[in-house]
Amino acid sequence: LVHASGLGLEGFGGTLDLSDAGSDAPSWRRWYLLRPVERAQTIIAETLPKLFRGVFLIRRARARALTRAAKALRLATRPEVDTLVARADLALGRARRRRDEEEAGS
Amino acid sequence: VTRNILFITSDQQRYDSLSCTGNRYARTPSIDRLAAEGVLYERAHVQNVVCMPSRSTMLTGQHPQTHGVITNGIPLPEDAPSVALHLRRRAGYRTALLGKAHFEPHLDPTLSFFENRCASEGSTGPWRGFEHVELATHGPMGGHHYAEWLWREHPEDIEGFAGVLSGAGGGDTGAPETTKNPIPREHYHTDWVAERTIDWLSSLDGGDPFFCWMSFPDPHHPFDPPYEEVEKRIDWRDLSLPERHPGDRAKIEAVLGERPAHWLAWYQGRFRNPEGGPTRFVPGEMTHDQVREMNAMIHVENELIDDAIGRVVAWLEEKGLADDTDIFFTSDHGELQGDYGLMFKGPYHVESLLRIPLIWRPAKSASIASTRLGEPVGHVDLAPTFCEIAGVPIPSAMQGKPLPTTPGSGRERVITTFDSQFRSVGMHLRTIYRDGYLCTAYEKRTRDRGGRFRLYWSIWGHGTEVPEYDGSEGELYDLREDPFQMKNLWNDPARRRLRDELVADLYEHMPKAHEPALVVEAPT
Repeated sequence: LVHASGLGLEGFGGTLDLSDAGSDAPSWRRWYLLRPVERAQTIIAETLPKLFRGVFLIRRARARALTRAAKALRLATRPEVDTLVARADLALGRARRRRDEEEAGS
Repeated sequence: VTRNILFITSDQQRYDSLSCTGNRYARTPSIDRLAAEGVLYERAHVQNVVCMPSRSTMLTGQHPQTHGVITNGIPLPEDAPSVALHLRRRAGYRTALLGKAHFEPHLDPTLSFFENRCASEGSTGPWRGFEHVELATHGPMGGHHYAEWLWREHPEDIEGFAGVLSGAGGGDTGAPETTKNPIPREHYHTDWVAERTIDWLSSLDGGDPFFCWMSFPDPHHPFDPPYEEVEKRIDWRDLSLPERHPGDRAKIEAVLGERPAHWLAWYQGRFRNPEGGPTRFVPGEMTHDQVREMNAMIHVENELIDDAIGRVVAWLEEKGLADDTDIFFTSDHGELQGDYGLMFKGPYHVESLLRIPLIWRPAKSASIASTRLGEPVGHVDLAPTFCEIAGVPIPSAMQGKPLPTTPGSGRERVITTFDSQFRSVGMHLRTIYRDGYLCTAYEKRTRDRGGRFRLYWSIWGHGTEVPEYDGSEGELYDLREDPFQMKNLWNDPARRRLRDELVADLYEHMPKAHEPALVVEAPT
């Protein structure tokens, strides 16, 4: 068992079992055997933005296709319905504000 | 007179990060001006020290225990109260949120939460009471509007950002999550948020009042502001260590050793702190120069925010709207910034994380005199204040009270809670500030609350040691005698009675819990 400091593993602390790797193991093998957690973290950090972007593009294509289909069928899309609801809320709020202002004025 | 509300937030910006709150390096003239013309709250505390619970409290006017988002990773329920929706429905306010929301988890690779996918669906709202949203986070990740804009318009700038939670070293000193980002400032998210805010305000026809939440993702890590701005503004070598940095390793360990075990365990790398920062980060390996370089980056990020606020306020003045607009500035929580030899955040209830800037520059018609107030207040008070400004009834579900504007409001306490998002950690901190004391009770460690996330935990929690708190641990600081919280008095026999009284008061005023408890759906 070797303490992690001094092996470029300062971020991990503690001790590591080197018995499998051996000091003469090829560097790639040492990398795989000695740094599985660091490797996983690095891969996740590098992959996530690409994964996000890929899903984003798929979602965007799907949303555009659904919008086209809804228009072709003369159906309202969800954003259009949501916008109508928001406008209704706003109109209601305006009416309430005017009423409150009138009551405060009288 | 109908009053507009401009609600400005930053992310992870501590109380003493501004010139007007005593920082000797900060150059924040725009925020200083708001403070000089308004009310600066000198004892404003968050209700939770991580993003999602804190932001949910701002929107709902409820404590995290009550709205149910007690930790990152829990999406705020769709039917949770929203002050934006209330203002729209009750008073016809035009409402928008520009910048970082984080009411839904961000570690969402499949974009299952609307917050993360709305840009991909071409939507700008309405959402949670905001008729218009354009969202951003700490870089070009995710499916937010800023990321989409950057990928579409400036793909050459994508690679310049540092990865969030990667913990990778960079800059001159190898400081964690620090990098020399070559992006021009006009492409950086701070200026983008200000630009989108001005665009939305410009789109209004002027007939209705507005409630606009301008939410900057900085100075939250990664520390990657446009490097040309860093070079122009500051040299990290000119910075000294923070006042709350004890000095060498032995002194740091002496201070941390008086606190519950996870403080020192984190510093020494035995506890991973996956709930507050990059898990690869071991504070004890951080050099003094790294602290100084990260703090220099944070200063630049704060200055860019200040510039952006200045631009928006100047626009309001130019359009004749400033006098009728109440402007608020605060942050969702603080940042350790090298205090006690630590960085980032987590289950650590000291002023560095709890105490945040809170400034209210009232509209002229309110006739509120400028002042500084030491009354204990919190984020939970924001939504009721917005309601009062709009002249609408404060919903009974809101737990705060409108912010005081003169001394003698009779406020006595402010409460903060922390609950672990990982079942494997299971920490629960309950904190009260009262009468100049900061008191935190640690509840017994649990193993059945929080998310399991076996895959993530096997990576993030690898090798971690989690203290087995039995409910007897705690922290007590006398802020008048010990403003930097260096001496934990929890076990001081002479303070036993005081401690017990504070804990009793804390639990007597603990907000009611959301029933049933909400599920942690993602690791952050």
